[in-house]
Amino acid sequence: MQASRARLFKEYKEVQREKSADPDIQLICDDSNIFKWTALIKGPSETPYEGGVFQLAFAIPEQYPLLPPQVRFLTKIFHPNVHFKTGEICLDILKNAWSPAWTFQSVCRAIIALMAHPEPDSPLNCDSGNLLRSGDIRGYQSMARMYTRLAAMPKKG
Amino acid sequence: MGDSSVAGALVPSVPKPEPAPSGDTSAAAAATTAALAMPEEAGMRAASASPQGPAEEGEGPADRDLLCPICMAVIKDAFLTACGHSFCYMCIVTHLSNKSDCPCCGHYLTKAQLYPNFLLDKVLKKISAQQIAKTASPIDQFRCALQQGNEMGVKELDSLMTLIAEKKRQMEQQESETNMQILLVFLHCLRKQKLEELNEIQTDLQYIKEDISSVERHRAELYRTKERYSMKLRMLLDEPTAQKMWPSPIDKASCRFLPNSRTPLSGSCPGTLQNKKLDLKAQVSHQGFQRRDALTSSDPPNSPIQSGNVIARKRRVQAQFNELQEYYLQRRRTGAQARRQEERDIVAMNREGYHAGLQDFQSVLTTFTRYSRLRVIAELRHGDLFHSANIVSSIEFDRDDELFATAGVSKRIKVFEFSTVVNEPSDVHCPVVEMATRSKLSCLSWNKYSKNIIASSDYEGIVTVWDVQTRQSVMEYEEHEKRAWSVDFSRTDSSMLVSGSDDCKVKVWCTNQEASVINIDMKANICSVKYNPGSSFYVAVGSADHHIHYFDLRNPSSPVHIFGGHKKAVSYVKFLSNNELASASTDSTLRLWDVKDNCPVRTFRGHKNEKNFVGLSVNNEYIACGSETNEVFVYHKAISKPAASHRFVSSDLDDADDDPGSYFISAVCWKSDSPTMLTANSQGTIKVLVLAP
Repeated sequence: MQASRARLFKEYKEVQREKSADPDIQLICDDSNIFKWTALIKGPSETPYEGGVFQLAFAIPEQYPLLPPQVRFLTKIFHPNVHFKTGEICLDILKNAWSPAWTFQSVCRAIIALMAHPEPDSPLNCDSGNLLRSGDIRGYQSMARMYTRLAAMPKKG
Repeated sequence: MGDSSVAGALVPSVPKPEPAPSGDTSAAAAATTAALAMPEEAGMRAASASPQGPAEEGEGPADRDLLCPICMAVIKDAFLTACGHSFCYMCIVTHLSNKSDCPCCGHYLTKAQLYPNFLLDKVLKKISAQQIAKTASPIDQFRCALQQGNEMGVKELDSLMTLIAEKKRQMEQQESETNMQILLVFLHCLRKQKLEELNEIQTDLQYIKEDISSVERHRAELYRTKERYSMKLRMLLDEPTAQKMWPSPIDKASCRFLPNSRTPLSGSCPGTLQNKKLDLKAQVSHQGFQRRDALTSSDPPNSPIQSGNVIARKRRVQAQFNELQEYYLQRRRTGAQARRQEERDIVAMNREGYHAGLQDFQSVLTTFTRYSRLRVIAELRHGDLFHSANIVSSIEFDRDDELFATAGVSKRIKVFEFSTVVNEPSDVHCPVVEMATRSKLSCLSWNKYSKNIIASSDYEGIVTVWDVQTRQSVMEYEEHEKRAWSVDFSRTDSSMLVSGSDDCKVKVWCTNQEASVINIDMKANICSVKYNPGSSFYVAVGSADHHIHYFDLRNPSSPVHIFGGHKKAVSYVKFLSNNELASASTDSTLRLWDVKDNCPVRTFRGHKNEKNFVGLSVNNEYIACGSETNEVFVYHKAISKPAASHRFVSSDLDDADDDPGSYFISAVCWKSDSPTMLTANSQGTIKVLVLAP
């Protein structure tokens, strides 16, 4: 508990110091609880998620950084490796491949990379995975773009 | 130098593997891909080692390179892994108890493959020391230098110590001066305050001294007058008719002035003066007795009565001494201020021999000590023995104090003849007039000019004007939408009346027309309304918003003034005079207001009133109100505590079954310019009470 709190304070200072370093990632820590974090990430360019802003929620265990945080999408996203209803993310660095050297910043960067390079072989969203495995790239991109506009883009007018 | 270059080459490689795993993951971390990546990483490491070495020497290490990848703090007890990465010893050991890999590169790793890196430890300590030196204050640096044992000469130390001692002396002196300054300011304030108190007390003593002289002079004059009168009486002794005149002037003189002389003696005079006064009094009393004995043998029977009266009055003065003292000083100070404003009054006052303040106080003291209790002179029981609800909401004397009317939840207006009720004992008094009403009644108001006209307000919001002679309603005003609590005829314009209701409206009516003349919409329930006795334009409104709103009906859009101070609804408002307004509230207080200067005058406490309408009535000097303890309380308008009280006692056998604590006084009404009043309670019992010594 003490070590994780100290580590989280270090990350918080790092985030405050380099706020404008990475324009695609915005990490937000709760004012009264160092264990409550959220993040806003931009959809990578040249993908159907481009133009969308997706919100992530971090659930941080007491053994952090020895154990990985549990991250999930709060914003609806059509992606093979993200559970459509719960927002759970299938990403190895958030499970068995976790290392204490990872930080929230690097986790967000990895998630952005996952959005650009989906892996349909281990899907949490079967519909999305099936589209990609059957080679219907166009169909997948169309669905993903639609949901991005519905859920991840601010309403116009 | 060679070792340092080796360490420099190793440290920069720590953050580089971070993006690599990301790349692996995005490409899907398959075993074969990982195997392929290993040689790439080795190659990258070799490449970074050779070219960056010289660069590091020139630039110096970055801050991030000093941090442990796990805890992100400066590395403590640096340990090197077999794959060449450095961590805090505790961090890497804790990690290896969970997993057997390197946090940076994922290479297989066990605790047996950790090695201490002493050189890195030293470098980190030096860097920390440098950083501390940059940020530490000069005092800390000085302290470190001394502790580390830098060589300094004795002379240098002496000069430093001299400087420090001088600095210390200056600071101590400054602090001492500041403390003295604060103490001096306090003492000056204290002296100023005490001098003000002293001046005030001296002024009060001066007033008291002047008043004692005035009163003594007045008594001397009275005694001289008395002597002359006695001499005349001796000449008339032979005539029998003269004997009847003896007691009156003596009684009046003694009753009137003795209480005044006792007030200063009781608490304000010094011991020596008090002794002198007592001696003088003894002589005076002795002389008085001699004269009485000389005059006639009929004097002795009067003496006990006089002494009894004097003792009773003295006891009353003692009981309320604090209130009387406060009122006396208040009047004298006010009188003194008035005196400064108008010099002409000085001449007038000198002629009278009294100051205005003392005159006020004398009249208050006289009236206050005259009465101490309420005596029942008549009791009237309602004839409706079968009515369970007999609360009398209102009881009012007519213009000439000959008739009084009662009304309440019995839905009847009953008019009684006062002299009959008082003079003729009877088990059941019959009203001279009885009128049935549709609803329960809340308030009655006699017309101040037409003797047979009375107005009522009821629980349905109807204001009705009745003709008592014909027992018919003359006019019915039905504009109020909810219960009307209060109605009042104007004294100066007998055709005008005002009413207040739970619909938050005050309405002014004219007996010549059916619609309301003026409508005032307020934001809270109206509990009481009252015309100023000297004007048909001014109306006081007691409201559930805890305030009294004083209106000029010529401009009804907003009140002339709002009197605030009550903490609950204002249930009654009554005028003692054109400028004096009394109010009652369910905060268990009565308040007296000056409607000319728009200021509060006094607050009266002693009765209990938290939820019911318990009645309020005023005459020139006294304020009477009911209490939820089934008692009537009487206050003198100048004293905050009750002057007298009377408890209603349930005498009926049937009533004994009920809880006596649940009854309350529901209505009171003074007879004009008289110590007599009518009271009624929630049982419907009506009593005629009179103030008694």
